[in-house]
Amino acid sequence: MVANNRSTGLSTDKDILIKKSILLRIGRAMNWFRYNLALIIPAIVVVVVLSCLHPSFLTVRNMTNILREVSVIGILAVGLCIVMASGKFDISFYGVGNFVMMTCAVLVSSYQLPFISVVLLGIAIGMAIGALNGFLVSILHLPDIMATIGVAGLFAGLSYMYTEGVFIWMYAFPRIIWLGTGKVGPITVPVFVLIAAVIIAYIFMYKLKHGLRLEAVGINPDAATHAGISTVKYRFLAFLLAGGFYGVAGVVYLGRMGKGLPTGFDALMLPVFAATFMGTAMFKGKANIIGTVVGAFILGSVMNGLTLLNIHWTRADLYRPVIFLIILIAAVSIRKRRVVG
Amino acid sequence: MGDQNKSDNYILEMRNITKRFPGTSALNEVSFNLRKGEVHALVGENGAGKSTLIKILTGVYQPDSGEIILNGQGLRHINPAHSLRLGIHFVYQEPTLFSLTSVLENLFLVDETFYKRGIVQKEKATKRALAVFKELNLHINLSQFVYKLTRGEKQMISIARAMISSPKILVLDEPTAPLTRNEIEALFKTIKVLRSQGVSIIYISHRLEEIFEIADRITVIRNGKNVGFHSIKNIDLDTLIMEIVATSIKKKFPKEKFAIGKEIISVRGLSSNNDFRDISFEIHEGEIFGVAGVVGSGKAALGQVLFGLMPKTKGEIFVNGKKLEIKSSQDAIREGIVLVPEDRRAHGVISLMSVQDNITVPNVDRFSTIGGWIQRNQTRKVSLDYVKRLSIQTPSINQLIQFLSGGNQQKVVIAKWLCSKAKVFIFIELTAGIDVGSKIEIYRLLNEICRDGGCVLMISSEFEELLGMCDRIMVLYQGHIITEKDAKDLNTQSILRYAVGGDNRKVEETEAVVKGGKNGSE
Repeated sequence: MVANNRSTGLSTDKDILIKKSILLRIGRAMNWFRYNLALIIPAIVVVVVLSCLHPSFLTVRNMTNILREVSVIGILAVGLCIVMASGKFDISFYGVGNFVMMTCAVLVSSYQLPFISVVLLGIAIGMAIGALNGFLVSILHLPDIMATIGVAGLFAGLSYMYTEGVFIWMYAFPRIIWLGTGKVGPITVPVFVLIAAVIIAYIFMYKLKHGLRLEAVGINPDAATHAGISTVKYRFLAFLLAGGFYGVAGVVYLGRMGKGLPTGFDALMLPVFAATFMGTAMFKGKANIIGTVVGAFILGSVMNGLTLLNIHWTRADLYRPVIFLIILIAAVSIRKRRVVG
Repeated sequence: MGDQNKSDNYILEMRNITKRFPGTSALNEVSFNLRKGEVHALVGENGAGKSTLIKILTGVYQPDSGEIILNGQGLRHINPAHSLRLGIHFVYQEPTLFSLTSVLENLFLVDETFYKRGIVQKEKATKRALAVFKELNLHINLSQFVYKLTRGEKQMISIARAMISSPKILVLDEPTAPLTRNEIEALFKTIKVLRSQGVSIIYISHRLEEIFEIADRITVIRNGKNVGFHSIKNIDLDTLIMEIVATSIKKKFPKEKFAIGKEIISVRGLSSNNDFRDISFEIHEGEIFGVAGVVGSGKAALGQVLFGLMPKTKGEIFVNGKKLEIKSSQDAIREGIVLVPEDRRAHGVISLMSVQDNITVPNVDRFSTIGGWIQRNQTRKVSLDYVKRLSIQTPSINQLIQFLSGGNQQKVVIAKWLCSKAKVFIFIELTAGIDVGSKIEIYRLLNEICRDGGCVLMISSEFEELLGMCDRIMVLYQGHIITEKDAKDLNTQSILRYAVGGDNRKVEETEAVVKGGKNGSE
């Protein structure tokens, strides 16, 4: 009897151990979902609702359409997201975008520069302006919003001035057009650029040590200083990288529009903010790359859905922000409950 | 008096409160009751469940089971605003005031009875405020901006704010932490006045001596369970400590002596603008060197200069015989000098990051490949190792650090520097706001540092802790060294005397300035 008891006792101990490890795993999975559900649920709901409302919403063709529509917004938002992760804000992207777009247009049309060097130059110009932002905000400690508005205005104005406000057509330069509208299989090239941008930003932020440090600076600059991280250096780095992404967006947008448009990026300002903030609000309250991309996707789906449903543009302008607000409220309430509970 | 009558005496009863959080059960069938007009101390270690219990009372959390009975009526689903209306007021540990508004405006932000159509009735409000100030013996200009006040004054303002609306139950969470001795006495006087007026007070504090001074009854919570319930007359300090930490503590300070090795850090004639002048000392392998002083002695600034957070104006710093130019915290860390700051929440932990990342951040160079890829399997292993070694209470290394208790957060901050293999550890107010049990565990870590051949510079306002843990103690007064002695040649009184400039007559006056100055040596 005693022996029996003992053996059962032992086996239950083992059972408990196994159960515990399973529980632990479930717990970990729950943890993961706790942070990520908030991000995924609104996206799924939007897709489900829109595909119920319109049969052709959930088709491969339409999905690629949406991705194409949001690709430039997504690239810009990813850049902005890196700056926001470092605890600063950046409004300069529309000025950078316009300037890069116009400069590249001029370089291609007037100087016949080869495609690759145009792309690289675009990125380099973006990073140079990013460095200027970084210098003003991080090293001179100017208020971020003011400084980047100034920089944006400066370069938007410059691109207007030296092109004298005229369009520069790109249709004579097929490779630039290809970058904006070309296709590989069913998917357009800008989508690949977006995917590449996301992968690069994701690796930088979450796989490399620089990203971890940059995030620490963004969350608590004082604590980061106490941990031996230079806030000046990492904020500068954030602006620099973001400039690179804006540069890429500038070249891609040039191809998509088929012309250099001195005010091309002005209209993208609000969607980019919306995507980044949506990502931030949905995921732990931290600026994060995946959230930003999902934010951009939700944004694109809603805009696309409204077009599919034949909503008149006068009303679409009202519906869009209302829908975004509802999505945000849902996302934030899911996140809150999960984290505290 | 029958049983019926006796329970009628309770203004508040919390019966069998249970609250679970994912991974942990914070409260398990905890009961607590409060009579009209008594001071009831609620004690326990950090993370024992005191604050969860209070948050349930004030409606921040909802209990999973159990009942709350206020004035004989059951309470259900209350929220913070609701509990305020019921007369339950909470004075937080950190004063939560609006710094860019006046004292008067701060006092009347919450209380609706002083508003008429949304506008504060200034005369009525001023009258009431002055009455409360008189009771508290406070002399603060009502039109002054709050940011100009000291931390102690802010604390008194938040107590005054609670008293404005004549509370029935007042919860004081570590109210004396930022107060000077004079202010503490004024506060205790006020508490006694309130008690005589029939206000019930829940008093939460780690300063157990104070509890014996002010409380009528004590409820002890440990690991989310009731472990003790006493009238203050029937218990002494040692028994109480034993109940709080479960194991009997033979020594509050588990100091171990190690062989003193070669000199590690040596400071020659160090000066910093206004904070301190001409400081020289050296610390050897395996040695804990204490720096004592009152507010304004420049002791905290000394640590910050050594860590590169503030520039020095003169003097030299040598580590292992090499002269250093420390211009930033990066320089200091590279040379093996690390600092655990005073303000844990603002400077110590990176709140939205996990325990693992907090340990990883300063050491990430070691855990990454040449391209900068973080090797997660290594950081995970190392973090798990430290969590186990320092017995950090956390459900997982991926838990956000802000959800840990103060003592455990501090352990993580120390862990990240242990991990960095630093040689010189600077601690500023290492155990501020940390419970008895965790304190001892943290002191043990100091021993470990010494055993591994490191050295410690311990900057503290708690003289008892310096005496208990240090080999030598240096006392600063107005930015210069007043003495440096073996710890065994000092006691709290003599340190205090030195800390106020060595003048005996001044000791009593300045006892008021010394934070935690009431650690008498009984």
